[in-house]
Amino acid sequence: MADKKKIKLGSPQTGCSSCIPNTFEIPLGPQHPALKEPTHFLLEVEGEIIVNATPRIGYVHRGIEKLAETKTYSANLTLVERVCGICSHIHSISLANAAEAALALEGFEVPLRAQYIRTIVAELERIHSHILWLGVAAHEIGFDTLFMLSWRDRELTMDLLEDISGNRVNYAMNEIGGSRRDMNQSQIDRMLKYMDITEERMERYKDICINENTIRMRTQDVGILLPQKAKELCACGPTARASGVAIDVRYDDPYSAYGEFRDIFNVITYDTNDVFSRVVVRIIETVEACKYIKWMLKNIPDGPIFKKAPRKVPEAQILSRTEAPRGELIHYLWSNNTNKPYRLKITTPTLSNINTVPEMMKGDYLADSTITLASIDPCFSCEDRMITIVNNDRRKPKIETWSESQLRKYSNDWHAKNKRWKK
Amino acid sequence: MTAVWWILTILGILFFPGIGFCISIALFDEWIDRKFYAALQDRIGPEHAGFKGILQPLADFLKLLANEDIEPEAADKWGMRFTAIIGLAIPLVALLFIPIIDTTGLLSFEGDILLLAFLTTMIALIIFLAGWFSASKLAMPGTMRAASQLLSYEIPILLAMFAVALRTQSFSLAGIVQWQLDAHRPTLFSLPMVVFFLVFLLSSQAELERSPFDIPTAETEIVGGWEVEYSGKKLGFFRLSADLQMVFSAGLAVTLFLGGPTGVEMWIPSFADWLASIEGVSGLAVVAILYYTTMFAIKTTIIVLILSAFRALMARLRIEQFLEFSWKWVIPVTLGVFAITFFYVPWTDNVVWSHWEGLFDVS
Amino acid sequence: MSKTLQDEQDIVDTLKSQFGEKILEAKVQRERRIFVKVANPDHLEIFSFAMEKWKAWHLIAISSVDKPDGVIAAVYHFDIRPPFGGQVAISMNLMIDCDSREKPILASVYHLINGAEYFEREAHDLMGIFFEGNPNLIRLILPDDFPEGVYPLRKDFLLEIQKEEQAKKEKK
Repeated sequence: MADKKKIKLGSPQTGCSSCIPNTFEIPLGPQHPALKEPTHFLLEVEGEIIVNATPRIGYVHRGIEKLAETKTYSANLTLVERVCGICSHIHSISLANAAEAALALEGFEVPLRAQYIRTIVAELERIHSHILWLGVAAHEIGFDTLFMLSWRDRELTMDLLEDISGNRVNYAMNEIGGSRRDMNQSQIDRMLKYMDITEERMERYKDICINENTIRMRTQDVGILLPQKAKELCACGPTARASGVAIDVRYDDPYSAYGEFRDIFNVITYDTNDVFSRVVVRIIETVEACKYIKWMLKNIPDGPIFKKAPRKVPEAQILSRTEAPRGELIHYLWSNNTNKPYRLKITTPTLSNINTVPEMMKGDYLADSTITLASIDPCFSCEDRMITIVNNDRRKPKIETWSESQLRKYSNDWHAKNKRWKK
Repeated sequence: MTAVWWILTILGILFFPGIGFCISIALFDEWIDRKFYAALQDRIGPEHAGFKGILQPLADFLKLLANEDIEPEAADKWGMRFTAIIGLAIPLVALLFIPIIDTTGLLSFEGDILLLAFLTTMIALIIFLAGWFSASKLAMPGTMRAASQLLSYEIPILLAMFAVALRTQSFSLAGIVQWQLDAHRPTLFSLPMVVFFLVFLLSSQAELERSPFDIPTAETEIVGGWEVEYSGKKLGFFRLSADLQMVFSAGLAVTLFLGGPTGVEMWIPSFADWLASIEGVSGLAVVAILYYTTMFAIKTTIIVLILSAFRALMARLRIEQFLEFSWKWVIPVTLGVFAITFFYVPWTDNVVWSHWEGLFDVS
Repeated sequence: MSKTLQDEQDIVDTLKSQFGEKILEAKVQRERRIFVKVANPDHLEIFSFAMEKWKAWHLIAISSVDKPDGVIAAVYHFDIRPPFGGQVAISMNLMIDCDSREKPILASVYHLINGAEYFEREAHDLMGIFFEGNPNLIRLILPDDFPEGVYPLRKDFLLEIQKEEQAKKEKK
């Protein structure tokens, strides 16, 4: 090795200090082709075996919780949709539910049709999120064909979302007191048709994943999370369900229209506790979501979709639980009888699930680290929610928010100073 | 050795069928590979540069040449540069031995199959060195994987090559092609050779580091593995080298198992006689060259398509799964069939295959 | 809302009879939500009791609030009735006030539920609550070079936009 010093070697596990250390550290992230968003894992590796993993999050912290305190409720609906690009709708449902629950203490009630529309969009979002995850997971294990095909089929759902809401990413469907857009009969027919196709395609992918040997070789017995550990580490969502822990907020604590079809609702669990189990759970959940959407489309009531809500929300402390595609999403709202929240606490599923990852990784091969991390479907922009760019002067910490022109100037100066980089 | 001979040989090495032609066919095969792979995934693939994007691989290569070339401070810089150049040179040299425009390669001698065996191993060694010199945490696992993978695909690939040499009783590629012409059938149609053909394709896939055996460069695991620190020209060289290796592997498979650049003349002796007769004639020799080249290109492309389909159908294996697969299944099976070939070739030639060969014997 | 809320009331009553004066406040907030307030180390007992009696293993989240009266508080959310057997889950908001604003200290529930580690680290990072007994109380979300002792989610930390609003108010 030309430069042994450059490779930071871990401390020797046992024996004399002059022994050659038998572990060394490999960084996973913040920039890594397998990570769609920045995070950092420091993997301690012994050969190809991971002996320890230390996560470090916070690279996409944008200050949404703090910012929410300065905005009105309807502006906050727009803001919380920006917490995450994939599960955006569920955040706005969660906040709207919280505000409406506070208003309900004064007898406010949301029209049922609006609840149905919300739930339909939420389930569509779950479908597209799960298929997106399936593609990413296939890419992580080097199976690009499944990645391309599944994302092709995801386009159907994306088209539907665009058809209903006019947007592909942040749907802006919710308002405190109802929904912004209605659905007409032709949209409903189109949705029923597309849901049939999606369901059929997902059944096909289920067959592929269960029968294709190389997929099974890469996912079975990888990233084991035993049920007991899943409970101890507060896992939630598909991660917990894949460990055989049957929790699902849609069933346990029904919100929006989920209470209406609780008797046909299935909590999907699988008991092999590994990555394969998470793949299967997510695929079956997608199939189930198609069924729920079809049920709701057939049973959607007529009526208004919006009821004007008062601008001020009465004083209350509301815990709003929803099931995002990745797991349980919490909005804890303190309202203080004004039109702005006093405190809005958002806890996202990835924060609950991220500490199961070191547990899953220990003892696995380095090659499996990325699929293991991907198997909880991490969403780091959900997890981190704050920005203030800090100019760190040790004597006098100064906190300032940088404008775009300042940032550009900083970048230019830095590159002028560090010309060697350009060479 | 007249002056004309020298000039022709040098032109041959530089342009046709040497470096220039090999690079062209390598880029063409990359285009075929990408288009077919894209079609299997319901995509379009390269589309804009040239007819249906046929110039895209060339454009990519030129773009890489123009890119910024970054060398890490801790790396052995000269080592990195040398490995990039040698990595490109080795498959080019190896390709000169493959019969493309004639039944003998541009360079040919009795025993050149041994040299090719050595060169294929050298490619793997260069990959090992390339990762080692770049002194990167992510390159190291890639390097280690490349090294351990090397052991498990080189043995089957060498056994397959020597099995063909054993079957054809010849240690030169020209001799192997000639044997196939004389026997009126490609080597593939000798029964044990089917096994070696499959093993050769499988091991080629591993040597080319293509999915499902792209373990040393696994992008989503170790960020490109041994080539992570290479950028700009050096990366361009390695990419081109990978294409050339693909042509080399396909060409070697064609030569060893599918009759090399020969085609229908295997079964039509009069056509073969005519081809032999025009070889000395200066004007008509072009026809023969074009015929052989076309045959070679078609056969190589078929092999490339098989390799592409293979790439699209499976997930990447883990290194220890690949080693297990190789040492527990491929190597024992190859060794067993090799032993059968070794002991029974004389017997089968005389007793069993005479009936089998009768089917193809049209004379 | 004509539902009886009987199950919720039962749980509140059980807690009240079990812990007596330790419970500072306990009420049914609304359907499926219970609010309980205790003083600092008592929440550990409530946790142990709930885990034993109702198998309340699912800690949902830990929130931290800078209350209007200037007291920093942490709110533990957990399922008081685990969602098995087709019942709907009932979740509890367990609020604990910290005694000091300079260095708010709470007892960590890490040894009861390991998963609390990250929630506590988040509250520590953003609200400055120190959890005694959490072995790994280091930065989670904020960058490593963030100044010590500045906690962005406290009410005395103002964003630029909030400063501007205040300045406008003062002008008026």
